Amino acid sequence: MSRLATGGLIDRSRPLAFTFDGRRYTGFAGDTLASALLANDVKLVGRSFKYHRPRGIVSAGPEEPNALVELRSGARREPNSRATVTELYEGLEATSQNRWPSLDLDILSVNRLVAPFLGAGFYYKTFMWPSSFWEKLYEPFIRRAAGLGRAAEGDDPDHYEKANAFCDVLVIGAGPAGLMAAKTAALAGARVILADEDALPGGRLNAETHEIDGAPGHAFAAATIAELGALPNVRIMTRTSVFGVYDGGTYGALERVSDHLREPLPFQPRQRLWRIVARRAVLAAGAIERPIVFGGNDRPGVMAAGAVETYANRYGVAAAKRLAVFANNDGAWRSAFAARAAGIEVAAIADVRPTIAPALLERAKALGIRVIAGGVVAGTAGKTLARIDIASGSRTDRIAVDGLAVSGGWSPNVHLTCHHGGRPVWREDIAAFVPGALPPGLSVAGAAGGTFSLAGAFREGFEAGAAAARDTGFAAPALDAPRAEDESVALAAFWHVAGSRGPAFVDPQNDVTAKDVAIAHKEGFRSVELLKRYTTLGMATDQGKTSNVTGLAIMAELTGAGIEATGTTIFRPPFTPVAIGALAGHHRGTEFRPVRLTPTHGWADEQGAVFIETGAWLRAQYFPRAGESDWLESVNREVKAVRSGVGMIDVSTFGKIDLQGPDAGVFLDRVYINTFSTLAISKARYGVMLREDGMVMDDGTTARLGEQHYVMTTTTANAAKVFQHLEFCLQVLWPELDVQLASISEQWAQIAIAGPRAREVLVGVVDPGTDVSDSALPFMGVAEARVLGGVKARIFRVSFSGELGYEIAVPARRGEDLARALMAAGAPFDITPYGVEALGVMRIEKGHVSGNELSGQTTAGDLGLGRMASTKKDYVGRIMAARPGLTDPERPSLAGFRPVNPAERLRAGAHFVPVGGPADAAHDQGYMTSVAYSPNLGHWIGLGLIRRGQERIGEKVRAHDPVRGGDVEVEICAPCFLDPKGERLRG
Amino acid sequence: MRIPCPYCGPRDSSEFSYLGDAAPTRPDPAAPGAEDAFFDYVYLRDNPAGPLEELWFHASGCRQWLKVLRDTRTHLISGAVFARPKAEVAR
Amino acid sequence: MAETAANIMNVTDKPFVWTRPVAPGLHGTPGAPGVTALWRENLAFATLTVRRGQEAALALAAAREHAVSLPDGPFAAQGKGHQGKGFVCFGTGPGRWLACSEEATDLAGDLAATLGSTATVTAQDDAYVAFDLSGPCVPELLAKLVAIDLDPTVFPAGSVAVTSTAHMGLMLWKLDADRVRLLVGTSLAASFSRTLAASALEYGFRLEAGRGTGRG
Repeated sequence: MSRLATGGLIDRSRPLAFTFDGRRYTGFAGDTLASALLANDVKLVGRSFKYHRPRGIVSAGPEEPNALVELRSGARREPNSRATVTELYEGLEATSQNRWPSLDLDILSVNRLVAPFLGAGFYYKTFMWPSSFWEKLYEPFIRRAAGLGRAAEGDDPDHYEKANAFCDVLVIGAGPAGLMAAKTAALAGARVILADEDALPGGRLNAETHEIDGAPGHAFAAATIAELGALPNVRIMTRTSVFGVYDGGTYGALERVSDHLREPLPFQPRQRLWRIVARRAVLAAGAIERPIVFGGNDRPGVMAAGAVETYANRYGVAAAKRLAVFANNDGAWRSAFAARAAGIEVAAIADVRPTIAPALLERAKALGIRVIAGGVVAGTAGKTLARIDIASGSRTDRIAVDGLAVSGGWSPNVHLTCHHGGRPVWREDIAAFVPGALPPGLSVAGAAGGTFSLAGAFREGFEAGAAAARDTGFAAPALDAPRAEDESVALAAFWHVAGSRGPAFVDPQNDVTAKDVAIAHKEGFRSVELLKRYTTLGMATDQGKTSNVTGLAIMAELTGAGIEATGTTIFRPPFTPVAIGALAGHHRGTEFRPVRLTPTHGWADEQGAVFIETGAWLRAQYFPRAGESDWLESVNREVKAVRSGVGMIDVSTFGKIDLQGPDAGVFLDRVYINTFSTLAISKARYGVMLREDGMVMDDGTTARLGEQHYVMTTTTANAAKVFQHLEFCLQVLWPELDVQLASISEQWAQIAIAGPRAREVLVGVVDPGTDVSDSALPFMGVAEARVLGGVKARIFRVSFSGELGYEIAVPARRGEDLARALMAAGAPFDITPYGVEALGVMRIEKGHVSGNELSGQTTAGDLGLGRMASTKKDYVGRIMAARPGLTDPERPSLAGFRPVNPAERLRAGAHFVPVGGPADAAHDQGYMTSVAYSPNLGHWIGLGLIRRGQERIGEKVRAHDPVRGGDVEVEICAPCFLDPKGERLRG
Repeated sequence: MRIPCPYCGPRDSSEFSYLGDAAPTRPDPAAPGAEDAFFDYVYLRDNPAGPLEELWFHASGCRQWLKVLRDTRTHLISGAVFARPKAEVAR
Repeated sequence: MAETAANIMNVTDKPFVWTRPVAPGLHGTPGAPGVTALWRENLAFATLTVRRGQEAALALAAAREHAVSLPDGPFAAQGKGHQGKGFVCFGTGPGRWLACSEEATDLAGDLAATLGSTATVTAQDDAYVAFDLSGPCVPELLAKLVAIDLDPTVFPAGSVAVTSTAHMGLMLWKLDADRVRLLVGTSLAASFSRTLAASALEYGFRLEAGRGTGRG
């Protein structure tokens, strides 16, 4: 065991059992999986992505590139979980990734031998080779060898959700700077949200051994959090990663509500995606310690210096028994001293700098730590680290250690400052990129801005909090800054031990070595963006948090251009991975989007209807009856029933818009191609409206209910679009018109009855004394009447099916009553409910256009509706519809099609080509838009758009459908297969 | 993105639908050269890098067409007014 | 199948059949519910849109006939109906209001009679379903539904918001310090009830059906 006897912010009274690769271990509440593994002397935790090299834990935070495990099992299995941020819970199951047959013995580690083929530019070079190589050789090999863990085996059983929060000041990170910023803004009176990805706020205060106002750092953090938590204007969000900065002060954050539990508590989501709108924000996200690149630097046991310190102080774990330190800065010396104080033997500190500050040397001497100034690690040995070679000058020291703490300095977490396109700025004195241009409303405090000392973090946190409070209208309070050390953070930039032995990894997660960077340089991929894509440096799940700066620094050395000129790649959201499930929230499975139910949905369900989604609506598709073998049989029956008797369908889904006002008629004249101002009261008219570019936007009937009162119907699909268009016309184009619009789509249920017996059914539902005779209510007539004993109704004598038909509108809550009443009244005529399939068949039989023909690429002329266009007025789309291209007689126009062999089936989407001619794009004459089997005619029929269609009646062409293997000879006919004179309508 | 609706207050951009540059006005269809003018009106748009007054429709809110001033380089929205003339906005 | 937030959204088992509304009763965390929703289909609604240039005349008529000062923003104002029946008018847009009455009377007819010369009145009684929310967890619940700052300092009682949730249009009216009324389109009531329940289960969710239970 490597658990220290005392210390750590863990609860030693709460042991937690867990398994790793099936073996049982014990940790404590407050551990991460990583700290618990280290406490149990598990150093080898995974195999690398390409070369299957043994890997261990290198960090103690979200930047971890190596210690990725599969967490949980079955449907909850989550690959690539970072052990360093996985809170331990009772029963945790983790499995190492990328090893076969076992972590200890991995056969594919021979990949190392083929490393030359998997190096920089591998994907580019491989794709250049013949595809047969790829399919037979490389893909199977890569699939077996590479990859990072296995996906879950079933649908995620957990629930995710989204939420919104608003504040004056959002503080990102609850380390010293963030605590101070939040406290300052909160005491000023601002509404504050303090978000931290850790379960335990405090940041470095929990990891280091600073005294603040005489108390330990972690106690100061806990006291400050308690103080903030008691304020009503503060919301503390732990386990919450702010991952993105969006426009207008909007921040994306992921709250891991239940990730620290075996499974979510009842009714709790697994994760919650927050959209936080903040007037001001303070980024206090700290910094990430950088490695130094040297041969064998990926051996388990090589860690970040700060991580060693964190494991000792926060978790009470000795990451090594005998430790060496390799660094280029003063901060790492403090980590070494902290490790020593925790009881870890520190064998040596190798610092690349020839001259070390006397105070550090004295302290090392006092602790009995050997110092090798000007020393670098030249090589390592052991499956897990057993030995290092330190070269200084001409001499090499061979030191037996099981841990090596490395520090190449610190990289501020500038990521969020770049989400609006800001580019980080290089600061030579700290050898780090610091934030450049900031997103509006965001400021930076502490290590995230390159101020690494504790006193500096408090100072900047106070300043940023005070400024944010002032900017949001609050007077900043007077606060005493906590007394803390202004410790030295001096360093000498150093990136790579040239000439060290063995592969030297820059990006351990994607197995990118210093040599790969050199190859990229040699082959000309020198810009950072090309370097990234060519070598895959920084493209893994950690997005290069520990490797980007080192990689580009090595490239800068090779090019001699300098780091500032080399620049960084662009950081984009998210800062850390966000599960797709969290982004989806409730919207999955059947709840992918809401469904709108028709007023008769419950009744139709009772009738056994099969439903289909049409836009947002769920509509009855057909009503199968016992003994019917397939949908077509049901639909044929429904169509025949309508044509011979009477049928009924809910058409409430049409958009319905109420237009009132003295200018309503004039307004309709301007939006429709035909005239409505002259429409008689109590009459309806079919109308077509265009877009301003001359294409058809929508069609439908509009009725005039009064001198200044019209009711428009739109197609189901375009209801919202048309309403928006009408608002545009009224508000933007012609604000002088006195017209009031109201959507009445939800208010009215509308049921169509159609067929020769429709009037007899109607008589059965209208209140006594209502005259619905042909003379009282002729074709296209409208009546406001009462039905069902006093219920207000509007009756429109219109028809989509071509039969005698009525649409009866009643207030929506009476829709179901109306359906039942119609069924009862129609029972003597065997009234048949029908669905949208039968409706579709009948409209194709009649040649009525629908969504397939109103494709946004058709003109009124194309659809045979050109004659409707008035020449006496202007309307939207008139001018542009007259363009030569839109009036070209060669344009495909609407026609009907019947198979020459009546047994053959037609397919929508088939293209028309000449009989005996080639079936290619040059001979394409148009395509089939809609098809149906007509039970009345006994064969398939179609509507389509074909060049000069209206002039080619009787001609034969082929409907060519290579996708489904169809090639059917069809005869062009008029786009109306039944009752072309419309006598049935007027029956 | 947040849009400060003059009626509803600041709202998420997902409540709005976008049309584009607010500058073009529908030409007089009866004027000579109307065809060319309409072609420009329907198709020709400047694409400035910087502040642009755009038409947005508050579809999930007050159903008003707005003129929103947005910087195309930064998405910074510096104001929004009703698209219809002031005299026509009933309050 | 267990009644969880995950399966409320995705199962075909009762009481959470997709397309069906959530059944009345207590769902989620047992005990005193954190959120109670009263599903109401017995309210009267009418939209009121001012005619061009009639703003002053309408305001005058509304004040005279109904003692209501038509709000010029997203707020509610109490009015007196004829026959002593009250109603509330709230602003939904410039020159547009939605009137809502607790009594299912001919609200549109009444308003048309008094205000019809200066405004267009359209009956919408069947267009909306109301959910009256109460309980200690309503603020947390609403944070999941709408992207609007509902802090009492910003959105006091009497405030109204026309917005959307989960791709559904939603009107939110803060009745008083503790209660909120949500209005959704009748066709979306079942879907909305599931969204509401899935978000409220963790607090304990009680659905009380008023007169209706939605479509089927």
